[in-house]
Amino acid sequence: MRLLTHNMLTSHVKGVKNGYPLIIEPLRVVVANVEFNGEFIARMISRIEWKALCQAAEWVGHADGLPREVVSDFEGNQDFLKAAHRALMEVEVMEGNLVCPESGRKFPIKNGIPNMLLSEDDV
Amino acid sequence: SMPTDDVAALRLEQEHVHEVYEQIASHFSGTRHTAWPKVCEFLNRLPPGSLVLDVGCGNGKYINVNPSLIMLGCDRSFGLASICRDRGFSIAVCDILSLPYRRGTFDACICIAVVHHLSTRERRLAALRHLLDVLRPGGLLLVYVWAQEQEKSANKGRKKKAQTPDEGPKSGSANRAQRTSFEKQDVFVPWRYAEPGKKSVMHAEPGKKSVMHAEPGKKSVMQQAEQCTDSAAQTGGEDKSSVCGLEGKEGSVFHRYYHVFHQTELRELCEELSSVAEMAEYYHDRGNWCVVLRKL
Repeated sequence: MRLLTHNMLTSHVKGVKNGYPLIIEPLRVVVANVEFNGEFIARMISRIEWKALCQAAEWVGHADGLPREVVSDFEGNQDFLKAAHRALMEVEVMEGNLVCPESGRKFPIKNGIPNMLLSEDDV
Repeated sequence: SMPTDDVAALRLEQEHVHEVYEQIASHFSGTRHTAWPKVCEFLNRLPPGSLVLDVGCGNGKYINVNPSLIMLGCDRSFGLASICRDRGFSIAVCDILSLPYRRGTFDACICIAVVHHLSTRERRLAALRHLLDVLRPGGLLLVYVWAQEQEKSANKGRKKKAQTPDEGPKSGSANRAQRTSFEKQDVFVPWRYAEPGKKSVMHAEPGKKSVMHAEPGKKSVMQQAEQCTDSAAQTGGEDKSSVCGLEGKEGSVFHRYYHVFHQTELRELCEELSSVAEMAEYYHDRGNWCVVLRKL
């Protein structure tokens, strides 16, 4: 699971009001090599919840080098864009859990894929 | 008979949609490589950097069509999601009736050949609501579902049905070969499993020649579907012998459930959502009914 995906996911457990962001319990994390496209990442920045990305990066142990805030002129800032690219696209949780911050309900991540299925009791 | 409640609907969909796709995932993926032009058009018209969700993305066929898009995918099948993951896509497993995405977030959403697998009208309507939920105001949703009227001259098919509502074909094989519509709307479409690399007779996509025209010795999807539906009705919709383990799967036939939509049906569902979204486009494409909705 990429952190880009994590940034868009939220807990949909019945009755939960504050299900975002899902807490990450990593068991196995890898760093892949994904081709960098500065323009592409620049367009992504405004769609990301940056605070949630920083929290996610911390949970998976890859917060070093990731700025705590979006810099004002990020479109032209290669260092910033590369750090964002690494966090969003290259860090992958292969095994672990996503945990609803309100209900504690766990969604397992296996082979890099988060399983967000709920049973009938949850919905 | 069709399910009257959610529990029965879930059971039918579990057996005749979810379990089937898990069993046939790699074979299915091998037969689904043609990205439909009008879906590609929709994706290529979106501004660069648009955040897009492909619900029921299957093997990820559409995820790289427009590389300027930020595209995420989700599917109900672990098998298909794994194929996406191996292709480097951003993917999750989830159910269309419980989408785990931040609401009001996406610029666009595509949902190709998914909603027709839901076995009650309520569930199909709920699916459209859930899809609209993830869109920001002004966001666009593209939905494709199998049409009852397989040929583009949809009116002809509809009139035929109205004239002979419950009549089975009387003049034998010649008549069957000319039929351009599914007779019934709730059908079980067979899939004969073949190991990757081997040819399979019965895996036709809608709108393709093999669906409508019976080649000698081969049957159209509609004819297969009707035979399936008849036998499925006899066995109560359960054909356990067709769902096997990995060994001996070659040649096994799986029955996938579809609710095929008649000409105005998708439009009617969308009209119930008129307080949430407006219809921007409505068309027939390769054996599908298609709609573009714009979230208000």
